[in-house]
Amino acid sequence: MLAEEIRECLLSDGTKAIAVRDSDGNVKVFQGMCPHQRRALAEGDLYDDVLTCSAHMWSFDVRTGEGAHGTEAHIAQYPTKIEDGQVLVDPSLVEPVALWK
Amino acid sequence: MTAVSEGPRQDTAGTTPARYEDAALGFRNHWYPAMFSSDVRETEFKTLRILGEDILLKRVDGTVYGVRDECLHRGFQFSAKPECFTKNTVTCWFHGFTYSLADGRLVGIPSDPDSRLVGKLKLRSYPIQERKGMLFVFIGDIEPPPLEDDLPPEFLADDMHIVPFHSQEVASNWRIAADSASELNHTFIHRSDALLQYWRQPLPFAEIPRGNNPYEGWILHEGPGFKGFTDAFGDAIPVFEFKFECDGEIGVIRSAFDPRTEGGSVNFREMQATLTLPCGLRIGPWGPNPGDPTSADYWHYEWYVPIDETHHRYIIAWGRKVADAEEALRAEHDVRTRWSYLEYEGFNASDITANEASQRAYGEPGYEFGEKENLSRVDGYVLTWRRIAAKHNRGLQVPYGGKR
Repeated sequence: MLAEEIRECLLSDGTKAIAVRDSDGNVKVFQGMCPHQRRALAEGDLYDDVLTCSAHMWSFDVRTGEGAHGTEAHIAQYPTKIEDGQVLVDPSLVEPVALWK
Repeated sequence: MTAVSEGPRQDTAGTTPARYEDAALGFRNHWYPAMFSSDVRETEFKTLRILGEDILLKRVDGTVYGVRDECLHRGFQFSAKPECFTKNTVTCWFHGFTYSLADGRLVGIPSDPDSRLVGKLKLRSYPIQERKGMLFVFIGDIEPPPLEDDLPPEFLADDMHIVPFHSQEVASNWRIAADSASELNHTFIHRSDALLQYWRQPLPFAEIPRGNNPYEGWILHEGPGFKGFTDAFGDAIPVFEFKFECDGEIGVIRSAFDPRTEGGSVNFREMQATLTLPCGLRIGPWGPNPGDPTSADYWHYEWYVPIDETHHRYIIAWGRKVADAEEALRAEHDVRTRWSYLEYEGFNASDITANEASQRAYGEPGYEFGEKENLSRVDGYVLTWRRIAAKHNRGLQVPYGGKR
């Protein structure tokens, strides 16, 4: 994965996730939908560790998943492990954050 | 998926602010401008639909009263055939149930004079204040806060002479109008407006923000009093000409007047716009004589009052600080004979076109408000407004507070 690249992936439980590489070089996997209004975060923009949704500029720090630039929500991060160059994701204990109704 | 709530915030009034996305009918527990004083004359009934509620209005000995326009007996709409046997009551045309207009209480039933319901049943009655030639109605359930907390700045100032001059039903949700109230880049729609011709005004039709954080660069009003935010014009980079290319063809968009050769009449760097809860804007100083930017001393006030999910009432009033009655009269004359036409037909009518033609997208079934948007750093205005509005409103509007 390249820096500033956002890759969308489908997890084993059917939910969408995104994989990004933060500035320390670590691959992080987060929920694929923006907590605000279910826009795919893969359509967003990643720069300087800040992921910005393409709909309403909700922003998240991809080192932690916390809201950035005043965004008051966070995105859920999936535990991962790397085996043979593959990123393995465990979705079992993670509930994506969703503020929409 | 499980919804995770951010946890409701509570303000001092004990109300819980609503999400902006949910506020199709506006925010409850606020004062809203309803009509002009001149709209409600002694002896006649008027009806008003506001935030999804229907109100019957009547002026009695100078004071305007408002009650719910629906009989408690079997739901007859009083205004369909209003009956009045004393000046301060309304009688239902259907079965004669009679109510006091001052507080809505049932005062008599012809078929059951001794009914225990008399004096006990009450129509919902609305707090109304008449100020500066306008009627303001409180839609809510709490003790109404001071009116000025729900008005743009200085509207009620003693020396501010207000001339309300336009009120119109617009076929769009109120939020579409509020979101672009004085948003910098919507000047694109005013590019060829008649008011600019009158002023020979080079108006930038786009503004490029200098910063990247859409939430920066605004003055927030979150303390006591009115809640909202102010944008000072002149921070952004104005655009008077724009060229684009598509498949080898070049398109050019130009401002109607060239800033290099035309002085214009408005000093935008002096202007400020303040958008406040629940739905009001003040912008100015405005209204200069052609060619004389120093003569701008009007304040433009406007509101986008929810009527129902797909309509709002667009109300405009101009204000001017005056020293005496003579100056007030001159301002009144000036607004009514010149600016009311130039400002509305020559400028604000474009806003209505923009708002009405956006309703379809914003009201599309199956989508939340704004779900189809693609905003960027230039949309700080709308993002900041929504954030302030969502933080400080006094609750979600549900018609009649969800009660019968």
